[in-house]
Formats: sequence, structure tokens, C-alpha cells
Amino acid sequence: MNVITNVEEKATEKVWEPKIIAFLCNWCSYAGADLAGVSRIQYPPTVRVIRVMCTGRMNPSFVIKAFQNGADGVLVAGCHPGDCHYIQGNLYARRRYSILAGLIEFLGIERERFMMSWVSASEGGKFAKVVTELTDRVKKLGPQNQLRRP
Amino acid sequence: MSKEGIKSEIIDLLKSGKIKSFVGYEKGTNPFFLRPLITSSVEEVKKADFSVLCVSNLVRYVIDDFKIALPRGKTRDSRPIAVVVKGCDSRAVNVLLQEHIIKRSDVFLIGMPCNGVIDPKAAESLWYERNKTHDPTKIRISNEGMFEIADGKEEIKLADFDEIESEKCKVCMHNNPVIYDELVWDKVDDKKVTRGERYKKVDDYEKLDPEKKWLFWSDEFSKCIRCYGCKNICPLCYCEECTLAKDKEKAVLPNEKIWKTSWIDKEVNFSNNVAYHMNRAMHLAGRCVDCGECERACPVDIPLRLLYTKVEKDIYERYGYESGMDSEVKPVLATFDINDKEEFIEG
Repeated sequence: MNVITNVEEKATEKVWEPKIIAFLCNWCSYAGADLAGVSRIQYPPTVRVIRVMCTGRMNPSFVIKAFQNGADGVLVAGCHPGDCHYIQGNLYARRRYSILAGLIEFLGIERERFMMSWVSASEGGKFAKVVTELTDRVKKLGPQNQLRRP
Repeated sequence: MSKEGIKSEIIDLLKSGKIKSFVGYEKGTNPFFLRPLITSSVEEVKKADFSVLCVSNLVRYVIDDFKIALPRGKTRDSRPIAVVVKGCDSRAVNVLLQEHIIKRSDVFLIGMPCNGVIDPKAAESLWYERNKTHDPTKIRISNEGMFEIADGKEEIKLADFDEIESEKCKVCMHNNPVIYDELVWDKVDDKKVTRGERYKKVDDYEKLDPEKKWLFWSDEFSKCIRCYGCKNICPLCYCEECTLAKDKEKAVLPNEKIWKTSWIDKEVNFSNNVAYHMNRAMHLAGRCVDCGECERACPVDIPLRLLYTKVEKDIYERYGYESGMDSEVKPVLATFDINDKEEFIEG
């Protein structure tokens, strides 16, 4: 019995680690994350990847929903402008997220929790850098409680 | 044209069958507000009125006409609806044309150049404070102010027009309709409001600390009861099934135990309220024409116009686009420029 309770206690004592939801585009950023893994580049295990076919497929409500369901940070990554598999998807996304970023800031929701970046299939190192930076920022802020659902 | 001239023209059009109905304003029981008049009878059109009390945006009724479910075998009457539009309302028509929701031949636009309409709530509370006769039938409101008709024909001024003018009209930049078939009266001079004046309130809020901003907005959003008044009155919320007000659907297959996801839950709690208003602001990005109807309909007075004006400002400053000015151009978020600013993108 004692052993089990000790294990449980140890589990609850665990330090808080942020949960980061990363929406990665299938053709560039997902391959970039894959490359980071294959090249054995170290990056924090805080990130949970959701693969979308294109950043242009992303509805801004995905980001809001992620925050509602308890994400501490959200990363949206896609191909560099001009490199999109669907020619122009990321250019639509850029306009959309410029407005969402302004809105998040205007409402006083911590802007540092949302990050958008361009990561190509060859930039494994950049993906690791981006994730590390977002994790550091979110760790400083602590758990996200503004939009979290009860 | 004059008020009587336009009315006789509408009557002629109705008699000859060139339009199917008329949507305008008529005097109702509330002295601070002209109620919408929706009719296809000649007698009723004679009751139509045009004044500073024409508060509501009637374009909503044109959209509602498209939503009526028809019996099998019947087709929609394709004749145009005559609708009275102010400057802001005419821009809403332009957005609907831009998005191919209506055709130009579906509406006959009666433009009403306006120097601002009143805020019924403000006018009513001022009247309660200052009136002497306690008789709501003895009120006259014009663009000179609010007057009370005392004994005989003597009039006492209760308020200046500035005091009762609607907030949205004080910062209006388009006093004349941008699209119309007929005008009720001659065009008026624009108020010459600058962009700086228009976005002053938004700028002030942007300067606040994030904590203060969040405190302000969380106070406002926690009041929301999700009555969907803002969505139901909006002339641009035309979706048959609104994603913001959708019930969770049970999966179709019997052995599937999951519920289909709805992106915004209907349950009223603070988190869902913020999500609802953020999503609505995103849906109105580059479309909102600032007719102010959402704020007027809101029973708990959430400053929705402030939120939507912020989005409008971002769109204007980043992409130089103003909603509803031209029905031929593409909506701003449905297009792109390879050289768009991307200072918010990191890494």
C-alpha cells in the first residue's frame, strides 16, 4: 500500500509543464518537425502536434477552442509565403491571423501565448527554436486561466 | 424629391406591380423610435415616415425574406423589395451584393441622406429627467433637438441634438447612401470626421495595460446572457445555420457514442461568452458597417461597437480597406497581397 501512495504522491508533486498545441501544415511545418526528430534535435516535450492540410484550412476558432480546452500556448506554423502547396493558402491565413492577433491583444488576453511562424520542411532547427521560445514564454506566464472552461 | 413625392412613387410602383413590398418606417407608440413598416398595401405606405427617429437598419428584413421556407411547388416572388436605407444601411447592402447573397435586382433602394439619428435610450432617459407635462405624446424630436409641446403651440427645448445623438452617428464618415435608386431628399454635407476622431476611443483603450483591458472586457462579457440579439439583428449575419448558436449533434451512426463537435458551445459561461464574442468579431472582420444595431439590441449594454471598430481599424490600417464602399471588389479577407505586413509572425 505504502509503495502505491508514495508513487501517487510523487506523481502529484510533479512540476507544472505547459501544454502547447501546435497546428502544423502537412507539407512544410509537419515535415520540419519530422526532420527535427530525425536529426535528433532536442526540443521541449510540451508540444502537442495537430496536423492540418494547410494553414489556410485553419479557422480562427480552432485557436480559441484550444485555449478554452486548456492549452497554455498555441502555435500556428505553415509554409513560407510563396511556398504553399496550395499556392496561396498561407497568404489568406496571414491576413486572418493578423486580425486575430490584434483582437487577442485588444481583449487583454496574454498575447505571448499565441505564436505564428513560418517553418519549411528543411528547417528542423527552426522548429525546435520556435517551440523552445514559446515554451519559455509560457513557462514565465504560468498556467492559462483566462479562457479555460470550468 | 420630397417625402410625399417618394411615397407617391412607391404607391405607383406597388400598383403597377414593379415592386412586391415596401420596408420603411412608421410612427408607433414609442415617441423615441419609428417602428419598421413592412407592407405591400397602398394604404399602409401612406403612413410611412422619414425623420431622425429612423434608427433601425431595415436591410435585415430583406435577408429575412430570403429565409422564409416556401411550400412545395411554389417559387419565390423575384420582384424587388423597396427598402429605405441610410448611409450605413446602404453599405450593408453593398456587402451583401459583394458576397452574392442578394442581386441588385432584388432590392429597390430608397436612399435617405442623414445627419445622424438619435439614441432612443438616451433620449428617453433625458426626457424622464427633464419633462414637465409627463405626457409622452407631446414630444417633438427633430435635428434641432428634443422639444416638449406645452400649452397651445409653445415649445420648450428639453435637449440639444448633440445630447441625444447616437454615438455611432457622431463618428459617421458616410452620411449619404453610397448606393441607391431614389433619394428621399437632397444629399447632405458629410460631417468631415477624420480617421483619428473615428478611432479615438479604440486608441484610448489600446493604451491601457493588458490587465486593465482584461478586467474591463471580462466584466463586460460576464454580463452576456447569450440571447443572440446581436446576431439576430445583424444585417450581415445571414447564415442559415449559425455556427455560433449550434446545438451539439449526436453522431448519425447508432454505435458511435461521440457527439459531433460544435466549435462554440451554447452553454452560457464566461469562457464560452468570450469565445462567442471573439468569433463574432472575427466573422465581422472587414464586413461590419458600424450600423450600431447590435449595441442597440443588446439587453445588457456590452460595448460591441468598440470591439468591432477595433477590427475595422486594424483592417483599414493594414490593408487600406473599408467595408461596403464598392460591391465590385473582393472582400478583404477573401483576397491577399504577397507583400502584406507580417510583423506579427515570429521566428
